[in-house]
Amino acid sequence: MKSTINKSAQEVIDRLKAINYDEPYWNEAEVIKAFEKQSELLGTKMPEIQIADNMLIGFELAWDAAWGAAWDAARGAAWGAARGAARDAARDAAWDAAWDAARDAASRNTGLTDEATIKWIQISDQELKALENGLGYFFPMRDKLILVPMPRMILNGDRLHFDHGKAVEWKDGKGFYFLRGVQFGEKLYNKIVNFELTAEETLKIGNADQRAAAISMLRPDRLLNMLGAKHINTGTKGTKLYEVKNFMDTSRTEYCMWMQDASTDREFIEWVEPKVAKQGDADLCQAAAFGIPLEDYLGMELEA
Amino acid sequence: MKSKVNKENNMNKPIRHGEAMLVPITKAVRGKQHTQYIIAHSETGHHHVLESKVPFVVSETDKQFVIELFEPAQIVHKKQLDKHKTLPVAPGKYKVVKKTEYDPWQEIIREVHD
Repeated sequence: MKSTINKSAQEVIDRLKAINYDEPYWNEAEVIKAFEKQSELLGTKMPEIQIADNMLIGFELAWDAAWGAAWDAARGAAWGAARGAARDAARDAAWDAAWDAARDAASRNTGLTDEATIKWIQISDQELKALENGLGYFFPMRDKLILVPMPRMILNGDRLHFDHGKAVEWKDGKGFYFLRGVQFGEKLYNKIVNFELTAEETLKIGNADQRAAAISMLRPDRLLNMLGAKHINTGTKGTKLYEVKNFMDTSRTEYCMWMQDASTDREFIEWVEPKVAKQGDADLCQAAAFGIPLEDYLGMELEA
Repeated sequence: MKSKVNKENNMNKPIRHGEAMLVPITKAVRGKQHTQYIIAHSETGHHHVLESKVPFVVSETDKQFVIELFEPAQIVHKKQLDKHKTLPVAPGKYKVVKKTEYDPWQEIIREVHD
């Protein structure tokens, strides 16, 4: 069934798209103002506000507040938030808030005009405003509201990934390391990005997700050697095509390209869709990766 | 690599800069004028940027990304170290294509990012 997005929902989506997640802007006054307005709409007393510099502090404050009040529900919320932080840091919370806002906007054109619905939309709008002003998380406790700014988040495609430091980082330097969407502790992360792990050590990483991410980050020669890759073709511009039988014990045959950066000494590996790579032509693999005809790729003269 | 590009030469050759490639086209380009435009975004701010002293036309939608240059331009990688070299770009019409890669763990295809 084809679904359409109404104008109001599209507006919210556009506002969310405009938020700069890799350079978040924290406007504390506007965030507090949004929650004050929300409190007014809810008809509740504005709680004491505490600003936490990062998610870990936010969690500690929430935990203290929850423990002090022996408020189980709040503790549960705090634990949930902490698990979210451990799993993929701030992104989930941002998206939860985004989803709530989009859902609320979508209800605007449904014909529901009753007071309760309108009020719900107005209340949710305040959270969207807070998000636009750099809010990452908030913990609504019984007597206080804990606000945590959005961290800077570096994504490669749709996954948190950064090989030069923390992919999720607050202004005070706290944050989390991620490679290919998988979280790592600092020690293991540094060994991986500095190519200090041997292929054998990489295979011994206990967590399967971390192991797969670490393998993908191995130095190209170690990766090819570890996988038992067989060189099957060299392209006109130096790309080498390799075949990997029984890839990671999956019984599948996969293919990868080894290439050297045109501007630096860096070598790297990129994997190729098997239906293209099966033809055994490294240049064709490069052309397909760019989505262009082989003759266009072969005609390329300038490269950097 | 040293190379000089002007209106008379190299107008019909694809140019690769990292994960982005400019491929010559003949179709007219209608869009907005710019003197700087990011042709490939980087989450770390290390964008690949097309620059020219003379405004050029860009049309970027979900379906196509095309440019028309009226004077020589250049593609610059906004990075301090380990960066892609600056390349000259001849006047002409180009489509911008981005490299994709296959992920054998997830068996999906995604865009390559620097």
